[in-house]
Amino acid sequence: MSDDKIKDPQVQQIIPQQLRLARAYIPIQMFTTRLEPTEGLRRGTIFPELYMPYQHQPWKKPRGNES
Amino acid sequence: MWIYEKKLEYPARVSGPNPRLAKVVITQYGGPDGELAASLRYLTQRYTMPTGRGKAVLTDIGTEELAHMEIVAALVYNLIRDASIAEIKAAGMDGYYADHDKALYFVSAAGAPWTAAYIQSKGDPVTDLHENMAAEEKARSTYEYLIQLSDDPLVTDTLRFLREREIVHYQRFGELLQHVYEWKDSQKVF
Amino acid sequence: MMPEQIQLLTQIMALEFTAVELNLYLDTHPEDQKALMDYNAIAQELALVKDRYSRRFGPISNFGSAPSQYPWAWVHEPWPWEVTF
Ligand SMILES: [Fe+2]
Repeated sequence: MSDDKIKDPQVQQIIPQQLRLARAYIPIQMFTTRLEPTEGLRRGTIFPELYMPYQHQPWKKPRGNES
Repeated sequence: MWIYEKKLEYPARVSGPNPRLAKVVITQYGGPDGELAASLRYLTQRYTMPTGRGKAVLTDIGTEELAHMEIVAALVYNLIRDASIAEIKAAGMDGYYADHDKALYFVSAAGAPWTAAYIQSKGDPVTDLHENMAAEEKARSTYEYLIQLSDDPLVTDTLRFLREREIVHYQRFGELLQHVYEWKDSQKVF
Repeated sequence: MMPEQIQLLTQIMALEFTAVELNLYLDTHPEDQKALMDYNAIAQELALVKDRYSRRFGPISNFGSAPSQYPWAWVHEPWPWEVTF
């Protein structure tokens, strides 16, 4: 995990605790803002941080390694 | 008990008859990773959740899954309602039609009837929550495959809503899992 | 469905979805006061819109959730899977 990720407050919350082997960990969400009801319904969640839309673009060819 | 609301959680619109699409979307009605399985899995696991939070999450997500089952049913119903026999035959849905006409029945995309073997209720809350997180991911994957298969933008819009719900449910089950670990640790006698 | 009914129903859908989301969040964060206040405010607003809807277009919920005009309005069509707005 990169330093940037660890600085994310959503992730940071579980880092200080002692993590145990052979357990699954999910960061606990912290409510800050939400979308307006109509926009939340349209997106399928009122929480901007949980909005992860599907990006399937079959018309785009899969790209190889660039740069 | 449950009280019915005469509305859908999210609109289910279709552009026109499309039995070919109905034939695959129905898998989220009665298929292995469908909404019936999701709802019944959570609603039957809730009795052995150890804490109030656990019972609440399982009851509430199990209830929301029933609303998703209704949305999927509305999609399938409207996709086949006005389809002609010729269209049903061309879509390869004639086998379904022979058994069910245009009625809703719990089958997978391949026509396998729903079975309780799709779900588990293990009594161990950590085990059950792992099953539920996996179930949410399996449903998310299925919605992505359905989005790939959909040639109706209105149906795709509803499928996108249902897919996003799986992500939120996954997060809630994950948070509940952390809580159950803490509960388990607090039960240990030193 | 009349435009006014569709408009109220859409409003109910949006408010109730916000309530569902906050409800699930509160299930795993019962001590989040900000989310709780938000939930209570949405619940109040939702109850008002549902009341306005059911007075005008018949009950949205059964089993004693709202009174019905004569004749018994619960049987009115369309049912949710027949609504395509
Ligand atoms: Fe789900």
